[in-house]
Amino acid sequence: MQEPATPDHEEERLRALRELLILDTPPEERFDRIVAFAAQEFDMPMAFVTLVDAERQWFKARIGSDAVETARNVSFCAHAILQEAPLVVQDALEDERFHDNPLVTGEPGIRFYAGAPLALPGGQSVGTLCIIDRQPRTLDRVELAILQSLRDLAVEELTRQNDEATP
Amino acid sequence: MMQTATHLARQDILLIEPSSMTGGIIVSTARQLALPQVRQVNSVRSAHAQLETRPITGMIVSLDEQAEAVELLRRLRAADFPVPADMPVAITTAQVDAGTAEQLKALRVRRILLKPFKVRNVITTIEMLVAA
Repeated sequence: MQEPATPDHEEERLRALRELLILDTPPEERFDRIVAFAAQEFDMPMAFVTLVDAERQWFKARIGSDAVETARNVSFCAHAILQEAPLVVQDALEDERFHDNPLVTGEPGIRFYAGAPLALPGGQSVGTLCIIDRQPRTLDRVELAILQSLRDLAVEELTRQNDEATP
Repeated sequence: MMQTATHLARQDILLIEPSSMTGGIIVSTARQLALPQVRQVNSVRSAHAQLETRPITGMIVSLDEQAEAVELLRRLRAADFPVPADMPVAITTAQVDAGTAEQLKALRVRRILLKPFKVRNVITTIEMLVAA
């Protein structure tokens, strides 16, 4: 398993994340409906809005999982925030970065992962909108565009909260 | 002249969809795929203004306001708006009975998408409207 690298400007990224004042807040319908939409649109058993904190990834919204967070060093999303384009892992068992990841070899048994980075207007990727399946899958160009549209909606909600908190 | 040429070259698609979230995702996805601009309105009433002022060349119409939507299509086919009266039209609806299906057929509706539909199928429909 390859642990995710630390992004450039990590301190700045974490500062931007914490300024959102969203970590460890209760579930909210505006994010829940985005993951519900994603799960239905893609026929995926799991969908999340994740936020990648210093040592963990925390789930602001989730479908198909009772977990509220996982360690960052096993997080797929911590890999996804390292790039601008969505990270698509068609079959985790065939991917050297993830084949022996405990989230693949154990519960929830991830095989397919697609995560679109939640990039704030300042450029900091604070998390992802991601969809997960227990079976290998692919995404075509239309599905990738839909995933990115849902991601844009999630970013809009994140920044709206921040705008409203700013006097 | 330039303005006229630009106007003629555009192929805007009008989407009547009451859910702002669903409509927004369709609009955004179409933009990312470089499809013609999709203009979403939440009601038939709002659609009238678009048909009067925008270069609309195709429509996807929700039947949530069935009577108003059917009347809009009737007026479209009667050339009551300054847009092509024969433009391709698709419908979204939770259900359709035989009578409504006949009515829609007479109004030359090209496709019916049953709700809940997938955005993917709406995008495919937009591509069909553009190619028509």
